[in-house]
Amino acid sequence: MARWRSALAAGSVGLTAAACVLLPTAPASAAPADLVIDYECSGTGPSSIAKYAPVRLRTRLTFATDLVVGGALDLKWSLAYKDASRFTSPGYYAGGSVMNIMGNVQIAGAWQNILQPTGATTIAQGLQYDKELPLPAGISDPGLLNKPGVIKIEPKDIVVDFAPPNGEANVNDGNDIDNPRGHVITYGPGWTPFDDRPRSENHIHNDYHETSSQYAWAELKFVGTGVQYVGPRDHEGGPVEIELDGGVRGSVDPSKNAIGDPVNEVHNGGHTLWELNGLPYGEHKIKITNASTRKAWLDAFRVITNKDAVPTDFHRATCKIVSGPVSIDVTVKDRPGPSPTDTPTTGQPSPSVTPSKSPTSTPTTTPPGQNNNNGNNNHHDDRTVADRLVTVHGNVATTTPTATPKPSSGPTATNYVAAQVKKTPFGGVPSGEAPVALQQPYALLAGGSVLLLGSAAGGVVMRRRRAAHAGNRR
Amino acid sequence: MTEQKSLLNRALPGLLIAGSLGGVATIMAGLLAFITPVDDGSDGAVPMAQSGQGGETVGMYNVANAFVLPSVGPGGPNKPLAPAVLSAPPPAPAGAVVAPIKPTAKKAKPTRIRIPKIQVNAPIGGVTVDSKGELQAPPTSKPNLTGWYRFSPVPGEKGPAIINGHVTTKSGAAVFRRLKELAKGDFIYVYRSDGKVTRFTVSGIEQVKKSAFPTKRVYGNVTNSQLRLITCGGMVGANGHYDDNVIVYATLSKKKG
Repeated sequence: MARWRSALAAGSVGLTAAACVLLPTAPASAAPADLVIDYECSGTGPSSIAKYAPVRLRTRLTFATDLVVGGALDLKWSLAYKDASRFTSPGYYAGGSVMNIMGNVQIAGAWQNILQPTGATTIAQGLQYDKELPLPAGISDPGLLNKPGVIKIEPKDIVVDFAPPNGEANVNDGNDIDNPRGHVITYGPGWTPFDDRPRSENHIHNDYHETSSQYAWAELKFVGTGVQYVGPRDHEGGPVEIELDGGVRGSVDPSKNAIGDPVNEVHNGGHTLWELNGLPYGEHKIKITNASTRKAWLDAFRVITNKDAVPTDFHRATCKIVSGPVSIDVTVKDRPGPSPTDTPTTGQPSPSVTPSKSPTSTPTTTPPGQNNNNGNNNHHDDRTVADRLVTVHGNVATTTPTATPKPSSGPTATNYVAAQVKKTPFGGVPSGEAPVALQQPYALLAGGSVLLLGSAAGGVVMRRRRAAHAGNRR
Repeated sequence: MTEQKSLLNRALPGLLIAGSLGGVATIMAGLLAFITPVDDGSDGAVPMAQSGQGGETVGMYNVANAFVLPSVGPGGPNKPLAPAVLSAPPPAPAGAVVAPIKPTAKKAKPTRIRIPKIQVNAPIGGVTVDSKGELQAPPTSKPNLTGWYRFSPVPGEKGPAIINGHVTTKSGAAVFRRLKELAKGDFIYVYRSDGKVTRFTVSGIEQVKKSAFPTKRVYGNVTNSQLRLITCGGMVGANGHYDDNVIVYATLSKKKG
């Protein structure tokens, strides 16, 4: 019995300690919250910037906890790599790539919301395949608070997207010495490399491959939205057939110019012999095949990326918390009190001047056509606030006392001014919707219902069969 | 064979019970996510998304009294985006202002917007208001498309030209994802179908509750050529939509063509 009692005591102490360590959910004081949260990021597929997963991040989330209605919950979230793991460039890009990071912070309690602090960093230099990608120093986002209560602020997943720039990258005909990894042209039999050609021939890297074997082929897998076949114009050339993603897309004859006339040139390199743009961004394969026994050359393929065609999540990595759930309870206090007077008096010594005039003058100036422009649901509030604060602006501008008599001087001479915005829209603009990961769990409900109904139906069928079986035996 | 069949027959009731219990548990998990009391920050029974149709929010009153700025702020690092008092005018120009382009018989259209600081280079389509009078945004299937409000002036002409764009869509970041990074003095270029190129200089930026949208400041008449860029911001409610709007104010500072 004594042994049970001591075990129980030890267990309760252990549980309390665990609760203290694992659930740091505690009412916050006025001191700013400062949370250190570790994440592990992973991606889907070889195109992800986290293909060498997991990439570990150490983040620090800070925000003021003395929140008041009308203020902003302004999250500052700094990010850094925790160890040697890194996001890496999924390809070979010109300068101007962008790393976009979006955090998710769940707010629950008195009201429920999600705040998505975002940040981005532009990578000015060009990127090589697998080169380390920098993180933005921090991400932030203010959310305006408009209701008091105790809320629980809980950081959730972070999403990291890589946006490549517009640009072109040459994939030379040589081996991986002069090409980045994963961007090497594969040659079938029958090709001969020619290096150290004179610069006057304008070949990329002063080299090219040549063949005179019919059906000799060369191919390249690339990620982009377009591709160009680069080679020399030469009178000894013959037709070359071009396939893209397994289908023949055309042919080109380097012994002829753009309008089909034969050329007299010899090894006049650096020409774009054939090109195709407007492909969906992703991995493609171009293959050229010598269609005759005449000569064919390959100097390089030029890969083109149109950043507008890159799906946002193509290179995405998603980061999940690994350092245990963290949340902080914060009390959003109601407005301290009716203190409109403490904001307006910014250095204006004459608040008493306008009240004597404005009670009659401001109402006559503001109503015609102006109040209804604020056509929100907030007419009443708007006016009460404006009444208090307009005096400030009147003072600041110091023109209102002289300007206000004007309307009253000519009550009949009403000037109608055409609105520059011909139809004034109503209220805010719905210019954003949350990424799909934040949607309601419809799939969960549907899946559960199917499982339940399937099991119930199976049970009924089983019982009927058994009953029938028993009846037969009888 | 018969042995296997009898084994299956014996296990079947257990499997069915486990399946139904699993189904109940899954439904309960789904329901829990649904029935958690959701309040998008608005007051009472009027959801924020419908608050434009009457009714008042306590939040609006408090926002306007406690933390509004007397005028639209300049934006920039370490300067929180806060709303300006509703009666505040549009912010003063950040630099030199040039005269507006005069409208011609053949109406031009804006075709492309470029904001070097935040890497925006996007086409401009057209948007209008719906039957409720609310300004629409471009289709979410085209996250890089911005929308010029067709009843507002053409950018470069006198008045406030309105261009909006999404901050995010269901697939992720959209064209105006980084709009909130703009600050006073930054440049915005708008290209027009008549070949003219206009440059606007940012004069201020604010983040406002959609329910307390500064209609007059954004859409009201002005004495020169101005530009308003609008996107969403702030918290995302249970309906998947943002509570706030981020508004950038800019004034025509150069024109070409």
